[in-house]
Amino acid sequence: MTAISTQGLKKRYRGGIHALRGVDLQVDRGEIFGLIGPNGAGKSTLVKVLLTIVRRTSGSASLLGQPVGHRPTLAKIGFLPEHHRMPRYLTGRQAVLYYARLLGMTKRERERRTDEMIDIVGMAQAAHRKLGTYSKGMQQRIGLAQAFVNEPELVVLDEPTDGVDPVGRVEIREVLLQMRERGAAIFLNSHLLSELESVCDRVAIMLEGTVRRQGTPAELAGNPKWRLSYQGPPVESHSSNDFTFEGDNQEAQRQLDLARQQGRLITHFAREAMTLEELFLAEIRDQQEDQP
Amino acid sequence: MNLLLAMLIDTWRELTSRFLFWIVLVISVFIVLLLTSVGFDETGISLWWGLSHSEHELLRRGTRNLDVVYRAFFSDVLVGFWLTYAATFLGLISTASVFPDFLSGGGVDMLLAKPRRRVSIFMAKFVASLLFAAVPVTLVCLGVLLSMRMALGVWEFEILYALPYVLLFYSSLFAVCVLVGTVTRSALASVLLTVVIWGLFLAASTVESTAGYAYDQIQKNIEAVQNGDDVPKRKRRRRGPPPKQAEVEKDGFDFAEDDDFNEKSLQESAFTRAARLASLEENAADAALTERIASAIRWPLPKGVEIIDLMRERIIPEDAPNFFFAFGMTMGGQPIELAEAVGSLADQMTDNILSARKVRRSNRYVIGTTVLFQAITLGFAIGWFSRRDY
Repeated sequence: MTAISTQGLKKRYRGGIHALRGVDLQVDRGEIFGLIGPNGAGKSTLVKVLLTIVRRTSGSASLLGQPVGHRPTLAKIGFLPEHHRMPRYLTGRQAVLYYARLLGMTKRERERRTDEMIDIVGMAQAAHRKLGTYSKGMQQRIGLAQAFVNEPELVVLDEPTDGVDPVGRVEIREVLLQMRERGAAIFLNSHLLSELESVCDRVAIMLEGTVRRQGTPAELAGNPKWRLSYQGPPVESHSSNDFTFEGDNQEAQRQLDLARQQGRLITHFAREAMTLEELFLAEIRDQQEDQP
Repeated sequence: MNLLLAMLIDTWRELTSRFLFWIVLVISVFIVLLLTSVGFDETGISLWWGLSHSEHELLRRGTRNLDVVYRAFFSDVLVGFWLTYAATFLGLISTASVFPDFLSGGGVDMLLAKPRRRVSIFMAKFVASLLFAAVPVTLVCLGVLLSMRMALGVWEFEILYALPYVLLFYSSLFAVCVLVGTVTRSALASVLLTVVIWGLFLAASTVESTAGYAYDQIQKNIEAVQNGDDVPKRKRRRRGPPPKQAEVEKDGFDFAEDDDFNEKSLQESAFTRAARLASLEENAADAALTERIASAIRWPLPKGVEIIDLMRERIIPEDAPNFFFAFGMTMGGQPIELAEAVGSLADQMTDNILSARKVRRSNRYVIGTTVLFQAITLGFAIGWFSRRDY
């Protein structure tokens, strides 16, 4: 069953700016889905359209099987926007309770879940301090706590690790994995590609308001790169005794056999997968080349 | 209900985090404390909770002077000035940023993503924001209720009428503030424009009442000219014995003895009177037109001045003198009945502007048009909020 589905989703702002130019996307339940793209690609607009903060110009979209804007469905969704601004006069606990109340949770349930989530994000010690006294990382953790307070079936996080130190990022990543274990689908917007790579089951690359590619990181990487080194002069068809090549497993085996048959001593043989960053940069380069 | 409660709690926390809110509250508490520090017994007045006492013939328990002065103080000073103007102005300054902050990026996103209708979110925030006005007004009303019980020995629940009237007055201005804040998302713009618009409301009200007053006065002058009552009673230098009484009463002139009066001056007077009548009628038409235009402009606008008048009528008798007059007369040792009589006479003589206006404006009209103005203003704000992308 799909958590998010969009078909031909378009958004044109006043002034003629096309933020989305027909987005087709599918996110399944129980997976962590990452959306990457440069600034201005339309990632945040897509999130806002899905959550009714921005109205779509055309196309269709559904969340948890219901059309976008279906209010009861919004109660099953957690959301943390980019550059969020929670009321500074509230304490961390009050802020989570406030958003839980807006979600329509019962008093007992919201108090139980608030304490639980504050504990999970590691903010129990500072829960009674005003948000205005929090560091960016602490605010981000409280933001995550409120996003997960309703035990959502789908969580949409826009740059959740923005401003968080490396230790905090690891902790947030653990929270995300923990939530996935509980069956929630997580839609992640981030420009930290290594981070997405480490947690996402699938990713999509978005450029200029359209999804260029989507799939698992392995699918996107296509044929992996291999590196082969051996002692002695290069065999026929090898440019050097230390070189890299692209190909599937059979091709890798063939190159290896060729070197061995010639009596070469293999010193290094490894698969060098294309990183998400390389993929992303390659996509950007392709886009630039496509432009007249 | 859950949404409204959440917004109420949140807005209360927001307001209590603002310095100005506490200033208004502290001043209100101070005023209430001052009021309760003044007590009255059968012989006179006591200050500072009985630390000081002085005898007074009129300001003592059981006198009408005390009753009227006390009520007039509440109506004219506490509500008429402090709650209506000073606290409203401070309230607007303090709450002007509530909606711009609420609509700021990153803040409103989290609210709009919740399973709530935009209209509900907006209205809950608006109602909750009225707390700023409601809290000091309630505090002052309850404080006055208590101090009147202590001072006069009676529970005057009419005092509580101030609450809905002041809130209606404040909310009509706050609606403007919210509309400007929603469109511009700027606290500064919303407070400045609201104050300017408030000034325009008052100006329109003044123009209408002044034009109405001028029209009435001109009509009286026209009547006087038509009846010949405007002919000056000349003081004449007399020679010889005084005229017969019957002759003098005939026209107010002593034709026989007046050296300056003759047929020519009578003709001149007739011409002058005709010209004066024409001029007055022209002025009356101008005044009537100005009043009609001002009245038409004011029709959809909130009736702030009239609302405060309505509140005053609810709390103290319509013919009661204002506080400063009543207090002055009382301190001068005059019974309040004299102040009322003088005030009433003054009203008759000057054809009091407010009284004239009250005749033309029913309670239903004043409250109805003010509520309608608020509804339309909020409707625009909600429309803007609901259709906008954030």
